[in-house]
Amino acid sequence: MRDKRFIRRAAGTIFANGFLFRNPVVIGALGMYQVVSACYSLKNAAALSLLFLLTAMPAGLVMCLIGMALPDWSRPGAALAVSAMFYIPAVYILEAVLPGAAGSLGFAAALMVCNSAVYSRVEEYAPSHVAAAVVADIAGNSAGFAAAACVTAAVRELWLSGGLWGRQAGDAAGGFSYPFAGFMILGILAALVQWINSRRREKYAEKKGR
Amino acid sequence: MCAPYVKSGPSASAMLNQTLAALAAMLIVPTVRYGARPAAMAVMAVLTCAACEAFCSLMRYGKIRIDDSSFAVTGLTAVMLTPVNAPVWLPCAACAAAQLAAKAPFGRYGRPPFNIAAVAGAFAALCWPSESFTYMDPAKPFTLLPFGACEYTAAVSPAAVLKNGLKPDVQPLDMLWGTGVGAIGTTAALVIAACGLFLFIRRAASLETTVSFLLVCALLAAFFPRIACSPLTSVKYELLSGSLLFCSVFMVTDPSTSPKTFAGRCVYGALAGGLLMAVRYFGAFGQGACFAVLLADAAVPLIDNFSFKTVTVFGRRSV
Amino acid sequence: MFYSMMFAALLAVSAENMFLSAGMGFSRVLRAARSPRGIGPASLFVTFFSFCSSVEGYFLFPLLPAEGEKAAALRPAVLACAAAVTYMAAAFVLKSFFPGFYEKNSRTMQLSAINTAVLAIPYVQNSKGFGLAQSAGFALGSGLAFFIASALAAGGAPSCENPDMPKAFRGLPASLIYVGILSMGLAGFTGGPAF
Repeated sequence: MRDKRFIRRAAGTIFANGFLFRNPVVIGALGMYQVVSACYSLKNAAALSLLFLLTAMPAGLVMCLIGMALPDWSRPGAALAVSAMFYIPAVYILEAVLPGAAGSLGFAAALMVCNSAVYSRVEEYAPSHVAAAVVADIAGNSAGFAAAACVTAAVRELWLSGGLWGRQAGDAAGGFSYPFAGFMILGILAALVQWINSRRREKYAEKKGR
Repeated sequence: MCAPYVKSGPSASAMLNQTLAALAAMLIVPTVRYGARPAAMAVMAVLTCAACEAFCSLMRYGKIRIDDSSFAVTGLTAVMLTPVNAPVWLPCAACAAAQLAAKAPFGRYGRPPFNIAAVAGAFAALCWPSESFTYMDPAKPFTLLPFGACEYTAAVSPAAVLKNGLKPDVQPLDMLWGTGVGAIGTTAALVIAACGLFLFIRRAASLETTVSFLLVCALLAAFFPRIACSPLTSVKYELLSGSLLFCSVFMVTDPSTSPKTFAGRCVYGALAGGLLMAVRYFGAFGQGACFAVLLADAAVPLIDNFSFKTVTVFGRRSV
Repeated sequence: MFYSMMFAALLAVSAENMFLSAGMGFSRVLRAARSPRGIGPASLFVTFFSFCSSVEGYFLFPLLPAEGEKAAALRPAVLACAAAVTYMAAAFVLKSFFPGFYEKNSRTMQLSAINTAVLAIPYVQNSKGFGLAQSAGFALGSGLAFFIASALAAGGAPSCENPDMPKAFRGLPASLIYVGILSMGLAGFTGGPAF
């Protein structure tokens, strides 16, 4: 019973780290291409986030199972190949949920197979951790990627078209579809999360001091 | 013993104030020609920059703290790069974005690695290209209210004509007086030259940067003309069109983003000139001063590194 | 053939710069920038694996479905598997014949081989209609573009850590804004999102 509670609490911490405190995009600086180049509409962000989860989760569980049995030199290649394997059904599921999304995303969807955030969880974390931790970690990182992608996309879509989820309202200024806007919004988000982390550290230091 | 008798270089705030004075002088010709609109745009842009500066200092220090006049220099420079017929909100929005995104995160004047006015200009060009590059024909009747709508006949700037591989209708000598088609502060070549002379004499701007910048632009224009004409004519058109001259005096000479050594500033000026001509020749926009300055600013740490190492190797200070 | 190769290489460094114009492989650029001495070896690895990726793309693309759901699903998977095999072959050869070199550079090699920019090369060359020579030129140019992007990011690092800036922006947030402004400068060439 105590073990289950411990696992749940630990899983909660791992999820929270992946989602916010060690967000893969704004703290880890991973997986930026998709957010910067393609997340200028919420639909794109949602599609990429779904693809992230559907690729990373099964690939992470497989690498958790077999990762440590593989020789060190082959593990990175194997992680990429396993991600590639699960990318295929992920695309079909994405097309079922959001028809036409994979095609319209072009490069951005295709390169999700080697997204550095996906790769880092599948190759670096999954082989050396238990399944519960891997699930929590990948779920947290997926949620973190989705959060960064959706906030970036929402700001850019509001600027570009005045509406969200493909709604057009008012004039659009095209500049925010450029990657520079993505980088800058990510920079501001990163500053926000960094500020949250520093406040947490200060509060923890205060508690410890008492 | 020597301190009161030896002249020292101008302080940063003195340089900024002198640059501000030069920019304010640049406003005279367009205000005389076009009415109060250029002055109104300048006031609004400077107020926007001041408001952003005040907001950022309030967020950071809990009180309004404005240490220097860099915000005013940014506002005026951004307005000089804007067409007189552009909406008044255009330079204000560009300045606000530049102050909040390119200056505030890096600290006070001297810390941001990029020229803030160049960031404002590039932001406006990318987000609102039609408003940024639509110019009026000053030879035709126009109505320009200080804050309201404008009635004018649109015209193609000499820079845009050159971009299309054609020779501009106007003679190069006619591009000296501020009567041509272009942004507020970029058409009066003689006024720009006079302001430049003032800044060089007062040492608020470094001559070597401007000279190397103009030299590279002239050489590229002479050897690789975009239009069928003599090299000299190509040089005249290239140097007098767009914001090249304005950039050579007010943007590449920014002491806070320039290299620290003499050799470094020469290299930086040459690089900026080459990049500007590359953007003109191969880029998407007819005017690329802001983009060229941003790219050259990114290379400044590497230029400084290289020129300091060179000084160490040869054992001589060249600052 | 040489000129088209050089032109493609020039495109990779300037207007079609994947790292600065589109943010591809940018996490690798930031990591390389943190240790400037490693930029050279990382760039060489990126060049090598980009070249391999371009050759794989040149021969595999015609064999894969061109449009539709199948294309969207199969192409990335097949190309990623080809890249994985290339990496494993390179790692095996280096580990077997140059174990010291492999021990020293395995992490750099891994990060250089498996990144978005390297795996994007086949798509870029397909969209631009490059032949084999141009693809090779583009791959060479990408290695140089990686070097330039890392050098610029390394050069900008001190201004992203200066004591005068707000604490919340020190480090990565300022680096992202720095790269965003650099990307703005490059947009003067592209006139729009490059990829």
